[in-house]
Parts: sequence; C-alpha cells; structure tokens
Amino acid sequence: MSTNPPEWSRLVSLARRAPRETRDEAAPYGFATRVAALALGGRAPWMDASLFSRYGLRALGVSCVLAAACAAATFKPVITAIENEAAALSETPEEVVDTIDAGSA
Amino acid sequence: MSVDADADFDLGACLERVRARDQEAARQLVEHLHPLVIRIVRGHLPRRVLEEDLTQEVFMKMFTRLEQYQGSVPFPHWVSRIAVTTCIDHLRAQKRRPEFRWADLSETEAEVLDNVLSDTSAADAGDALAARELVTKLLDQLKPEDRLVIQLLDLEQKTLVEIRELTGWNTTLIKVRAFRARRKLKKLFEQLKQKERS
Repeated sequence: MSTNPPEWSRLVSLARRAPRETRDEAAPYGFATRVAALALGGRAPWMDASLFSRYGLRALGVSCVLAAACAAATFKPVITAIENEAAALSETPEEVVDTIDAGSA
Repeated sequence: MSVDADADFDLGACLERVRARDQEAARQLVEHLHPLVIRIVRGHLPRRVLEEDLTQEVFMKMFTRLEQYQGSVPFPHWVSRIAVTTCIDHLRAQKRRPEFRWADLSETEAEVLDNVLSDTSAADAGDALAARELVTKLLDQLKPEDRLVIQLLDLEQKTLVEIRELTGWNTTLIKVRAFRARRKLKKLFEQLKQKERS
C-alpha cells in the first residue's frame, strides 16, 4: 500500500490525541420501541412503496388487457348502434317535409 | 447494553423471534445493536443529517433485508455493512463537497495546519481537537468510499481485515481506495502550501 503524505501523517497522529467522544451509545428512550413498531407493526411508508413497486406494473398490464377485451366485446354493438343512428338521421321526418312544403307554397 | 459487553444476549434466538414478527424481540435487537450502529453513524455522519434519523434508517433496512441474511458472516458484521453503505449513500447524495479554504479555518486550525505543513510539532489538547476538525474538513474533500477507508485506516487505526469485515469490500479494493485517497490528500496539501505561500 502507498505511504501517506507526511503532512497527513503528522496531522492525523495529532488528531488521534484528541479526547475520545463520551456521548452515550445506548438507544435513546423509546427509540427501539418505535423502530420495532415501524418495522414489524403497522404499515410503514417503505412497505407501501415496496407494495406499489411490486404490484404497480402488474396492475397496469392487467388493466390494459381488460380495457382491450372490453373494447373488443363491445365493438360490434357500438358500430351497429352508430350505423342505425346515422341511418335515422339521413331520413327527413314527415313533419319537417310538411313545414318546408308549406313554406314554399 | 453493548455488542461487546453483553455476552448473555442470545442473538440467534432473538433473530428467530424477530423472523416470527415478535415486536419485543425486535426492540431488544435494536437496543443490542444500537451502540455498534451509532458508532458507525457518528463516525461517518453527513452534514445536515440527524444521527437518529440515519440510525433509524439503518435499522429499518436491517429489518427489511432480514430474510436475506444467510449467516455466512456474523450478524453484527452484516448490520455494520448496512450502516456503512447507508452512510455512504447519504454522503454521496450531498454531491457538492465544500471547498477547503484557509479563510474558513479557525485561528487554531490555521495554526495547526501551518505547523503541519512546515513540519513543526504542535502538541496540546486544543491543537489535537483542532487537528481532528481539520482532518474532518480534509476528509470531506474525498469521495465517500475513499474517505471511509482512509478514516478507518489512519484515524481509527483499523487493520485491512477489520475494514473488510466492516465494509464487505475485498482487500484489493480497500487498498485501491486508500491509494486514491492518499493521492488526493497529497494534491490537497500541495495546493494548500501554494496558497499559503501566495
């Protein structure tokens, strides 16, 4: 392994002489209970995220297939209904013909 | 309760109970491993991140991945690797590293750096604290992985084997990262010397 730059060695050996941290390393009050409850208890946000990522794409695929099936199943009745509507519109109702005739006379 | 001191704690049995979704066992596991995790988190805490939040994230990851633990390494090593990677992810997310400038140093820090650059020994406790601050600021200039390796090697004086156990990286990778970190530090000191002269 390469050697340290001498300046770094001097600085780091001096830094090692600094008094060690004396902060408590035990879990703060309630921390362990909270973490355990989050992890094993109710639904944590990370669980929702993983459920969404697991089923999101699959659900999208299923909904696309269902939409296509619905369109295929209703295609013929819809087209027939549109054709009937168009045919009905192309015929001029008798009342309208009478009105036009009366106007021209 | 600490991992080293508490020999009576039956980790295997506790893990079995946690796998059976026993909340009390999960609480005991967190309390048992907290000293180990908090030491890693405090040593590699990114700026503007609360140590409690980061510790909680480590434990949540531990519980999420518990099914993946095969027992090939001791459980505390496995957890320490999660802690290390979580810290590195956060350090990486900081993206922009603050520039190291003479102007930002306190009077004592500048004095210590001056002494270090000109090879004079500085010695009292205040100097040691300032030196530690300087070391942290210099380490901030390195890539998170390189920083971690050099901090463990030089500041905490861990062996390659200990670092391998802690991080899960192989020895060659650790050496490469140490080499890269030292090259960067050398460059930094050269720049600092030039700035000092100018």
